[in-house]
Amino acid sequence: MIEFSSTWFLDGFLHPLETPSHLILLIGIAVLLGQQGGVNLVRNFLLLSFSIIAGFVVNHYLSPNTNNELILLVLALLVSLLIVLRLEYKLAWVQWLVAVLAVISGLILGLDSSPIIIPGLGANTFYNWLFGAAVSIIAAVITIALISFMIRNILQGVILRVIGSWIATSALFVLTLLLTKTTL
Amino acid sequence: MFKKISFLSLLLGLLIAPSAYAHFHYKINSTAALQANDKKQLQAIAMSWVYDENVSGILLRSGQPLNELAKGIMDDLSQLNYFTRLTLNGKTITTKKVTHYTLKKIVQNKKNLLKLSFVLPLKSPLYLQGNTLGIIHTDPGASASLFYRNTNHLITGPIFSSFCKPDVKAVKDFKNGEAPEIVSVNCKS
Repeated sequence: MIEFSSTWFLDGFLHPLETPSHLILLIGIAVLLGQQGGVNLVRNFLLLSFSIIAGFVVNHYLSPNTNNELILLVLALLVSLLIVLRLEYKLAWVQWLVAVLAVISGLILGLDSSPIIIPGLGANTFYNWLFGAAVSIIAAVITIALISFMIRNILQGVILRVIGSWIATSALFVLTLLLTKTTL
Repeated sequence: MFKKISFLSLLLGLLIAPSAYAHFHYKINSTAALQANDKKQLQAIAMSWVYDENVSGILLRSGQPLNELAKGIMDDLSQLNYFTRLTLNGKTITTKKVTHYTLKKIVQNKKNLLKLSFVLPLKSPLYLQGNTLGIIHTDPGASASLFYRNTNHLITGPIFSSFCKPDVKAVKDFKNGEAPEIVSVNCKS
Protein backbone atom coordinates (compact mmCIF):
# COMPACT_ATOMS: atom_id res chain seq x y z
CA MET A 1 0.00 0.00 0.00
CA ILE A 2 1.26 3.46 -0.92
CA GLU A 3 1.57 5.88 1.98
CA PHE A 4 2.39 9.57 2.03
CA SER A 5 6.08 10.14 2.69
CA SER A 6 7.20 13.68 3.47
CA THR A 7 10.84 12.75 2.66
CA TRP A 8 10.07 11.70 -0.91
CA PHE A 9 7.40 14.33 -1.42
CA LEU A 10 9.88 17.04 -0.41
CA ASP A 11 12.63 15.55 -2.55
CA GLY A 12 10.32 15.58 -5.57
CA PHE A 13 9.02 19.04 -4.63
CA LEU A 14 12.53 20.50 -4.60
CA HIS A 15 13.67 18.82 -7.82
CA PRO A 16 12.26 21.35 -10.32
CA LEU A 17 13.24 24.27 -8.07
CA GLU A 18 16.82 23.04 -7.70
CA THR A 19 17.38 22.08 -11.33
CA PRO A 20 18.46 25.18 -13.30
CA SER A 21 16.97 24.14 -16.66
CA HIS A 22 13.61 23.25 -15.04
CA LEU A 23 13.49 26.45 -13.00
CA ILE A 24 14.32 28.70 -15.94
CA LEU A 25 11.69 27.08 -18.18
CA LEU A 26 8.94 27.00 -15.60
CA ILE A 27 9.50 30.68 -14.75
CA GLY A 28 9.56 31.46 -18.46
CA ILE A 29 6.41 29.56 -19.40
CA ALA A 30 4.57 30.92 -16.34
CA VAL A 31 5.47 34.51 -17.23
CA LEU A 32 4.40 33.90 -20.84
CA LEU A 33 1.06 32.42 -19.77
CA GLY A 34 0.48 35.35 -17.42
CA GLN A 35 1.50 37.88 -20.07
CA GLN A 36 -0.85 36.36 -22.65
CA GLY A 37 -3.52 36.12 -19.94
CA GLY A 38 -7.19 36.52 -20.70
CA VAL A 39 -9.47 33.54 -21.20
CA ASN A 40 -6.54 31.49 -22.46
CA LEU A 41 -4.71 31.51 -19.12
CA VAL A 42 -6.79 28.71 -17.58
CA ARG A 43 -6.80 26.66 -20.81
CA ASN A 44 -3.02 26.95 -21.26
CA PHE A 45 -2.41 26.19 -17.60
CA LEU A 46 -4.54 23.03 -17.84
CA LEU A 47 -2.71 22.01 -21.03
CA LEU A 48 0.61 22.47 -19.23
CA SER A 49 -0.54 20.48 -16.18
CA PHE A 50 -1.87 17.53 -18.19
CA SER A 51 1.28 17.54 -20.33
CA ILE A 52 3.46 17.28 -17.22
CA ILE A 53 1.51 14.20 -16.08
CA ALA A 54 1.74 12.78 -19.63
CA GLY A 55 5.52 13.39 -19.52
CA PHE A 56 5.77 11.44 -16.24
CA VAL A 57 3.89 8.50 -17.79
CA VAL A 58 5.91 8.50 -21.02
CA ASN A 59 9.17 8.74 -19.04
CA HIS A 60 8.17 5.83 -16.82
CA TYR A 61 7.07 3.45 -19.56
CA LEU A 62 9.32 4.42 -22.46
CA SER A 63 12.31 6.27 -20.92
CA PRO A 64 13.17 7.98 -24.24
CA ASN A 65 16.86 8.64 -24.62
CA THR A 66 16.63 12.35 -25.47
CA ASN A 67 18.79 15.25 -24.34
CA ASN A 68 16.02 16.75 -22.21
CA GLU A 69 18.18 19.42 -20.59
CA LEU A 70 19.15 20.84 -23.98
CA ILE A 71 15.52 20.84 -25.13
CA LEU A 72 14.42 22.50 -21.87
CA LEU A 73 16.92 25.32 -22.29
CA VAL A 74 16.15 25.88 -25.98
CA LEU A 75 12.44 25.98 -25.09
CA ALA A 76 13.18 28.47 -22.30
CA LEU A 77 15.06 30.62 -24.79
CA LEU A 78 12.17 30.53 -27.24
CA VAL A 79 9.60 31.26 -24.52
CA SER A 80 11.64 34.17 -23.16
CA LEU A 81 11.99 35.70 -26.62
CA LEU A 82 8.22 35.56 -27.01
CA ILE A 83 7.89 37.34 -23.65
CA VAL A 84 10.26 40.06 -24.87
CA LEU A 85 8.35 40.42 -28.17
CA ARG A 86 5.02 40.66 -26.27
CA LEU A 87 2.98 39.42 -29.19
CA GLU A 88 -0.68 40.42 -29.50
CA TYR A 89 -2.60 37.76 -27.59
CA LYS A 90 -5.73 38.17 -29.69
CA LEU A 91 -4.04 36.79 -32.81
CA ALA A 92 -5.07 33.19 -33.47
CA TRP A 93 -1.56 32.01 -34.39
CA VAL A 94 -0.15 33.49 -31.18
CA GLN A 95 -2.78 31.65 -29.16
CA TRP A 96 -1.87 28.42 -30.94
CA LEU A 97 1.86 29.00 -30.48
CA VAL A 98 1.50 29.62 -26.75
CA ALA A 99 -0.73 26.53 -26.33
CA VAL A 100 1.75 24.34 -28.23
CA LEU A 101 4.65 25.72 -26.17
CA ALA A 102 2.72 24.98 -22.96
CA VAL A 103 2.15 21.38 -24.08
CA ILE A 104 5.76 20.81 -25.18
CA SER A 105 7.16 22.48 -22.03
CA GLY A 106 4.95 20.30 -19.80
CA LEU A 107 5.90 17.15 -21.67
CA ILE A 108 9.64 17.81 -21.47
CA LEU A 109 9.45 18.87 -17.80
CA GLY A 110 7.65 15.58 -17.10
CA LEU A 111 10.05 13.57 -19.22
CA ASP A 112 13.06 14.99 -17.38
CA SER A 113 11.62 14.15 -13.95
CA SER A 114 12.96 10.75 -12.96
CA PRO A 115 12.07 9.76 -9.41
CA ILE A 116 14.54 8.26 -7.03
CA ILE A 117 13.90 4.61 -6.43
CA ILE A 118 15.32 2.82 -3.42
CA PRO A 119 15.00 -0.93 -3.93
CA GLY A 120 12.43 -2.19 -1.45
CA LEU A 121 10.49 1.06 -1.37
CA GLY A 122 9.96 1.34 -5.13
CA ALA A 123 6.28 2.24 -5.39
CA ASN A 124 6.24 4.41 -2.28
CA THR A 125 9.22 6.58 -3.19
CA PHE A 126 8.16 6.70 -6.84
CA TYR A 127 4.64 8.06 -6.38
CA ASN A 128 5.49 10.41 -3.50
CA TRP A 129 8.39 11.86 -5.48
CA LEU A 130 6.28 12.41 -8.61
CA PHE A 131 3.46 13.90 -6.55
CA GLY A 132 5.94 16.36 -4.97
CA ALA A 133 7.41 17.30 -8.36
CA ALA A 134 3.95 17.84 -9.88
CA VAL A 135 2.75 19.98 -6.96
CA SER A 136 5.94 22.04 -7.09
CA ILE A 137 5.79 22.75 -10.83
CA ILE A 138 2.07 23.49 -10.85
CA ALA A 139 2.19 25.69 -7.72
CA ALA A 140 5.18 27.65 -9.08
CA VAL A 141 3.50 28.14 -12.46
CA ILE A 142 0.17 29.25 -10.90
CA THR A 143 1.90 31.73 -8.59
CA ILE A 144 4.22 33.23 -11.20
CA ALA A 145 1.52 33.26 -13.92
CA LEU A 146 -0.96 35.08 -11.65
CA ILE A 147 1.63 37.69 -10.61
CA SER A 148 2.59 38.14 -14.27
CA PHE A 149 -1.06 38.42 -15.24
CA MET A 150 -1.59 41.19 -12.67
CA ILE A 151 1.44 43.22 -13.72
CA ARG A 152 1.28 42.51 -17.46
CA ASN A 153 0.12 46.01 -18.41
CA ILE A 154 2.23 48.02 -15.93
CA LEU A 155 4.56 50.41 -17.79
CA GLN A 156 3.18 49.07 -21.07
CA GLY A 157 4.39 45.60 -20.14
CA VAL A 158 8.03 46.62 -19.78
CA ILE A 159 8.46 44.77 -16.46
CA LEU A 160 7.59 41.38 -17.95
CA ARG A 161 9.62 42.07 -21.08
CA VAL A 162 12.69 42.85 -19.01
CA ILE A 163 12.10 39.71 -16.94
CA GLY A 164 11.86 37.85 -20.26
CA SER A 165 15.26 39.20 -21.28
CA TRP A 166 16.72 37.99 -17.97
CA ILE A 167 15.25 34.53 -18.52
CA ALA A 168 16.78 34.50 -22.01
CA THR A 169 20.15 35.49 -20.53
CA SER A 170 19.91 32.78 -17.87
CA ALA A 171 18.93 30.15 -20.44
CA LEU A 172 21.82 31.16 -22.69
CA PHE A 173 24.21 31.10 -19.72
CA VAL A 174 23.23 27.55 -18.68
CA LEU A 175 23.07 26.42 -22.33
CA THR A 176 26.63 27.65 -22.86
CA LEU A 177 27.80 25.78 -19.76
CA LEU A 178 25.99 22.67 -20.98
CA LEU A 179 27.45 22.81 -24.47
CA THR A 180 30.97 23.42 -23.13
CA LYS A 181 30.34 20.56 -20.66
CA THR A 182 31.06 22.78 -17.67
CA THR A 183 29.35 21.63 -14.48
CA LEU A 184 27.74 24.14 -12.16
CA MET B 1 12.15 50.37 -7.40
CA PHE B 2 9.75 47.45 -7.95
CA LYS B 3 11.49 46.67 -11.23
CA LYS B 4 14.90 46.59 -9.56
CA ILE B 5 13.68 44.31 -6.77
CA SER B 6 12.10 41.95 -9.33
CA PHE B 7 15.28 41.76 -11.39
CA LEU B 8 17.52 41.25 -8.39
CA SER B 9 15.22 38.56 -6.93
CA LEU B 10 15.15 36.69 -10.22
CA LEU B 11 18.90 36.98 -10.69
CA LEU B 12 19.55 35.89 -7.12
CA GLY B 13 17.20 32.92 -7.51
CA LEU B 14 18.87 31.80 -10.70
CA LEU B 15 22.32 32.14 -9.18
CA ILE B 16 21.42 30.31 -5.97
CA ALA B 17 19.56 27.50 -7.74
CA PRO B 18 22.61 25.75 -9.27
CA SER B 19 24.50 25.72 -5.98
CA ALA B 20 21.49 24.27 -4.19
CA TYR B 21 21.12 21.51 -6.79
CA ALA B 22 21.21 18.23 -4.92
CA HIS B 23 19.39 14.95 -5.41
CA PHE B 24 18.99 12.20 -2.92
CA HIS B 25 22.08 10.02 -2.70
CA TYR B 26 23.09 7.27 -0.38
CA LYS B 27 26.07 5.07 0.29
CA ILE B 28 26.40 1.34 0.65
CA ASN B 29 29.48 -0.23 2.15
CA SER B 30 30.04 -3.42 0.21
CA THR B 31 31.99 -6.60 0.83
CA ALA B 32 32.37 -9.32 -1.79
CA ALA B 33 33.70 -12.85 -1.36
CA LEU B 34 34.49 -15.12 -4.30
CA GLN B 35 32.98 -18.60 -4.07
CA ALA B 36 34.53 -21.58 -5.84
CA ASN B 37 33.18 -24.97 -6.82
CA ASP B 38 35.00 -28.31 -6.56
CA LYS B 39 36.78 -27.67 -9.87
CA LYS B 40 38.24 -24.44 -8.45
CA GLN B 41 36.04 -22.40 -10.78
CA LEU B 42 34.31 -19.18 -9.75
CA GLN B 43 30.64 -20.09 -9.32
CA ALA B 44 29.22 -17.19 -7.32
CA ILE B 45 30.02 -14.01 -5.44
CA ALA B 46 28.68 -13.56 -1.93
CA MET B 47 27.95 -9.91 -1.25
CA SER B 48 27.18 -8.01 1.92
CA TRP B 49 25.86 -4.49 1.67
CA VAL B 50 25.57 -2.22 4.67
CA TYR B 51 23.22 0.69 3.94
CA ASP B 52 24.07 4.11 5.34
CA GLU B 53 22.25 5.37 8.43
CA ASN B 54 19.77 7.52 6.50
CA VAL B 55 18.54 4.82 4.13
CA SER B 56 18.63 2.16 6.85
CA GLY B 57 16.31 4.42 8.86
CA ILE B 58 13.99 5.02 5.90
CA LEU B 59 13.77 1.30 5.16
CA LEU B 60 13.19 0.42 8.82
CA ARG B 61 10.54 3.12 9.19
CA SER B 62 8.59 1.58 6.28
CA GLY B 63 7.14 -0.70 8.95
CA GLN B 64 7.56 -3.90 6.97
CA PRO B 65 8.83 -7.03 8.69
CA LEU B 66 12.48 -7.70 7.75
CA ASN B 67 11.68 -10.78 5.66
CA GLU B 68 9.07 -8.88 3.63
CA LEU B 69 11.40 -5.91 3.27
CA ALA B 70 14.19 -8.25 2.12
CA LYS B 71 11.92 -9.80 -0.50
CA GLY B 72 10.87 -6.36 -1.74
CA ILE B 73 14.49 -5.22 -1.96
CA MET B 74 15.59 -8.33 -3.86
CA ASP B 75 12.60 -8.15 -6.23
CA ASP B 76 13.45 -4.53 -7.06
CA LEU B 77 17.19 -5.24 -7.27
CA SER B 78 16.60 -8.10 -9.71
CA GLN B 79 15.07 -5.51 -12.08
CA LEU B 80 18.22 -3.42 -11.66
CA ASN B 81 20.71 -6.29 -12.17
CA TYR B 82 21.58 -6.08 -8.46
CA PHE B 83 23.47 -2.82 -9.21
CA THR B 84 26.20 -5.17 -10.39
CA ARG B 85 27.98 -6.00 -13.63
CA LEU B 86 30.67 -8.65 -13.56
CA THR B 87 33.31 -8.78 -16.28
CA LEU B 88 36.04 -11.20 -17.25
CA ASN B 89 38.80 -9.44 -19.16
CA GLY B 90 36.33 -6.66 -19.89
CA LYS B 91 33.56 -8.93 -21.23
CA THR B 92 30.30 -9.07 -19.28
CA ILE B 93 29.58 -12.29 -17.38
CA THR B 94 25.98 -13.46 -17.24
CA THR B 95 24.57 -14.00 -13.77
CA LYS B 96 21.50 -15.80 -12.46
CA LYS B 97 18.67 -14.66 -10.22
CA VAL B 98 19.54 -14.42 -6.54
CA THR B 99 17.73 -16.98 -4.42
CA HIS B 100 19.73 -16.87 -1.17
CA TYR B 101 19.56 -13.63 0.76
CA THR B 102 19.16 -12.25 4.26
CA LEU B 103 18.48 -8.84 5.75
CA LYS B 104 19.62 -8.07 9.28
CA LYS B 105 19.65 -5.14 11.64
CA ILE B 106 23.17 -4.42 12.85
CA VAL B 107 24.80 -1.81 15.07
CA GLN B 108 27.98 -0.16 13.80
CA ASN B 109 29.58 2.78 15.57
CA LYS B 110 26.41 3.13 17.66
CA LYS B 111 24.33 3.44 14.46
CA ASN B 112 21.40 1.17 13.62
CA LEU B 113 22.04 -0.08 10.11
CA LEU B 114 20.66 -2.64 7.71
CA LYS B 115 22.89 -5.31 6.25
CA LEU B 116 21.77 -7.14 3.12
CA SER B 117 23.63 -10.33 2.27
CA PHE B 118 23.09 -12.34 -0.87
CA VAL B 119 24.81 -14.76 -3.19
CA LEU B 120 24.99 -13.75 -6.85
CA PRO B 121 25.45 -16.97 -8.86
CA LEU B 122 27.14 -17.06 -12.27
CA LYS B 123 25.22 -18.65 -15.13
CA SER B 124 28.28 -20.78 -15.94
CA PRO B 125 31.26 -21.34 -13.62
CA LEU B 126 34.50 -19.77 -14.85
CA TYR B 127 38.21 -20.42 -14.45
CA LEU B 128 39.85 -17.29 -13.11
CA GLN B 129 43.51 -18.28 -13.63
CA GLY B 130 45.08 -16.04 -16.26
CA ASN B 131 42.09 -13.68 -16.24
CA THR B 132 40.94 -10.47 -14.59
CA LEU B 133 37.57 -10.29 -12.90
CA GLY B 134 35.89 -6.90 -12.73
CA ILE B 135 33.08 -5.92 -10.37
CA ILE B 136 31.21 -2.79 -11.43
CA HIS B 137 28.46 -1.40 -9.22
CA THR B 138 26.17 1.24 -10.69
CA ASP B 139 22.65 2.40 -9.82
CA PRO B 140 20.61 3.30 -12.94
CA GLY B 141 18.70 5.78 -10.75
CA ALA B 142 22.01 7.48 -9.83
CA SER B 143 21.14 7.43 -6.13
CA ALA B 144 23.23 4.64 -4.64
CA SER B 145 27.03 4.52 -4.60
CA LEU B 146 28.69 1.29 -3.52
CA PHE B 147 32.11 1.42 -1.89
CA TYR B 148 34.65 -1.25 -0.94
CA ARG B 149 37.16 1.35 0.37
CA ASN B 150 40.04 -1.17 0.39
CA THR B 151 40.98 -4.72 -0.56
CA ASN B 152 40.02 -6.02 2.90
CA HIS B 153 36.44 -5.97 1.63
CA LEU B 154 37.24 -7.99 -1.49
CA ILE B 155 37.80 -11.53 -0.25
CA THR B 156 39.33 -13.97 -2.69
CA GLY B 157 39.00 -16.95 -0.32
CA PRO B 158 41.29 -19.98 0.14
CA ILE B 159 40.98 -21.28 -3.43
CA PHE B 160 41.75 -18.09 -5.33
CA SER B 161 44.04 -16.28 -2.88
CA SER B 162 47.12 -18.24 -4.05
CA PHE B 163 46.99 -16.77 -7.55
CA CYS B 164 44.57 -13.84 -7.43
CA LYS B 165 45.20 -10.32 -6.18
CA PRO B 166 42.29 -8.03 -5.30
CA ASP B 167 42.49 -4.37 -6.24
CA VAL B 168 40.29 -1.39 -5.34
CA LYS B 169 41.02 1.99 -6.90
CA ALA B 170 38.96 5.06 -6.05
CA VAL B 171 37.66 7.02 -9.05
CA LYS B 172 38.41 10.69 -8.59
CA ASP B 173 35.44 13.01 -9.13
CA PHE B 174 33.07 10.19 -10.10
CA LYS B 175 29.63 11.36 -11.19
CA ASN B 176 26.37 10.17 -9.66
CA GLY B 177 25.33 6.94 -11.27
CA GLU B 178 28.90 6.00 -12.10
CA ALA B 179 30.98 3.42 -10.23
CA PRO B 180 32.95 5.23 -7.51
CA GLU B 181 35.69 2.60 -7.54
CA ILE B 182 37.41 0.31 -10.02
CA VAL B 183 37.15 -3.07 -8.37
CA SER B 184 39.04 -5.99 -9.85
CA VAL B 185 40.60 -9.33 -9.04
CA ASN B 186 43.72 -9.97 -11.06
CA CYS B 187 44.46 -13.67 -11.48
CA LYS B 188 47.15 -13.38 -14.13
CA SER B 189 50.03 -14.00 -11.75
